[in-house]
Amino acid sequence: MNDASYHPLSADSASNVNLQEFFLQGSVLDGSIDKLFGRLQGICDNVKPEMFTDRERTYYLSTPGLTTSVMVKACKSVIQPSAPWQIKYIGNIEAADHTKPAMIRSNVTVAVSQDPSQFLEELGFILRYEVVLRGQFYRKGNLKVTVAKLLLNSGIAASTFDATKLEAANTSHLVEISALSLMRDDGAAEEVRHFAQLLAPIAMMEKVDHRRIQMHQ
Amino acid sequence: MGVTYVSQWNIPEGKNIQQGVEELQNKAEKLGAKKCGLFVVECESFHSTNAQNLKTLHTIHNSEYPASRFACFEDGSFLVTDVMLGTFLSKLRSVWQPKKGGKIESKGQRYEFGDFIIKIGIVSMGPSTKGIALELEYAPCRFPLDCWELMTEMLHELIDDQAPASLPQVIAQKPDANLAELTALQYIRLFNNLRKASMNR
Repeated sequence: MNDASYHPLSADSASNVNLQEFFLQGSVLDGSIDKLFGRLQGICDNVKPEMFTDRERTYYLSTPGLTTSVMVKACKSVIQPSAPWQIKYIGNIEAADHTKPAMIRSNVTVAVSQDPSQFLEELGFILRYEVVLRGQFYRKGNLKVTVAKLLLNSGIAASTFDATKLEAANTSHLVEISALSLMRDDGAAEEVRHFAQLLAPIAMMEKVDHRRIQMHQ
Repeated sequence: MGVTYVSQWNIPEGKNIQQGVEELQNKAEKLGAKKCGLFVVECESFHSTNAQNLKTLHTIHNSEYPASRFACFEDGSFLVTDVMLGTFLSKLRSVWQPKKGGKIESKGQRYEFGDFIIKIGIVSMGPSTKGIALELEYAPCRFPLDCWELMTEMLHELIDDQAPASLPQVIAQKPDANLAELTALQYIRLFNNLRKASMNR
């Protein structure tokens, strides 16, 4: 705990606060990525963008008697080995509400001491897939902006993970703007939408109904 | 954060819990231990609504580790997490629900005696008291096997014939584990025993 690099991810208080996350997603072809970086550098807070490479395992827990399942992600930074594992609960995405300018999901992040795979399996979760996101992280006040390339790892088990053997999944980068806010406080949604407009026409950030994508699969 | 021993203290015959606690507190104070705040260790247990999963999940909050929560399956994995664990589990409530009567806590006076920390707690489930828990911590050491003899000596002074004859099973099984984990596991075992005892009564 006395280690200088120890950053608790959440403080002692506010443990039962229900947070919602407003977000918009878009994508940019690799060829135009430098333009987007330039634009972000210009409009975001004047700090160096943070590079990140994160492993992200997606787990599902099926609910008895219901068709929906609970999704949880286990994440770990590859380039910052001292950062803890995190478990992220990601709620259902609300995209259909036309009165809201951004998509909404609830988000609970728990930092944990070690690889949570066994724990999640004991809870009944099943590992669906693992991806690696490599990219840059920008911030502007409350807003988080990530531009990341989706990479696939051939071996899914922890023992076979090799950061040098990653393959790009496609020829574009995923862009996401998000802001956390308290429940029923919609001010952040407007902030996200406004910021998204500043990225046009390099990246078109739009509300996407994820259920429709899944239906077409 | 040192080596910790947790155990139930059996109340002498003819005394109630309050008198028992006072007797133990007097003993500690006579040795020279100084009162140093209060402590609480809470445990909440969950079970799965899925009939195939019979495991019980215990979560522990210990005031000695205010920014941490501990999650543990019986004979299974153990995780130290941050304070968001409760919120996370509430999101899984369609599958993982709090057990009926699953909340149990040990609460009481904390003493410091040189390098030792002594905690005398009353274990209660809701409004009903279940027993007395004694925790002894030897703060400077991180290796249970190296300081166990010293701790036994102290325990003999404190609880006399109720001192353990050998290293507790939880510690003996994994002496190299995280110390906070060993403390949490001992509390879970203690709480389970007291729950069972009250059911058999």
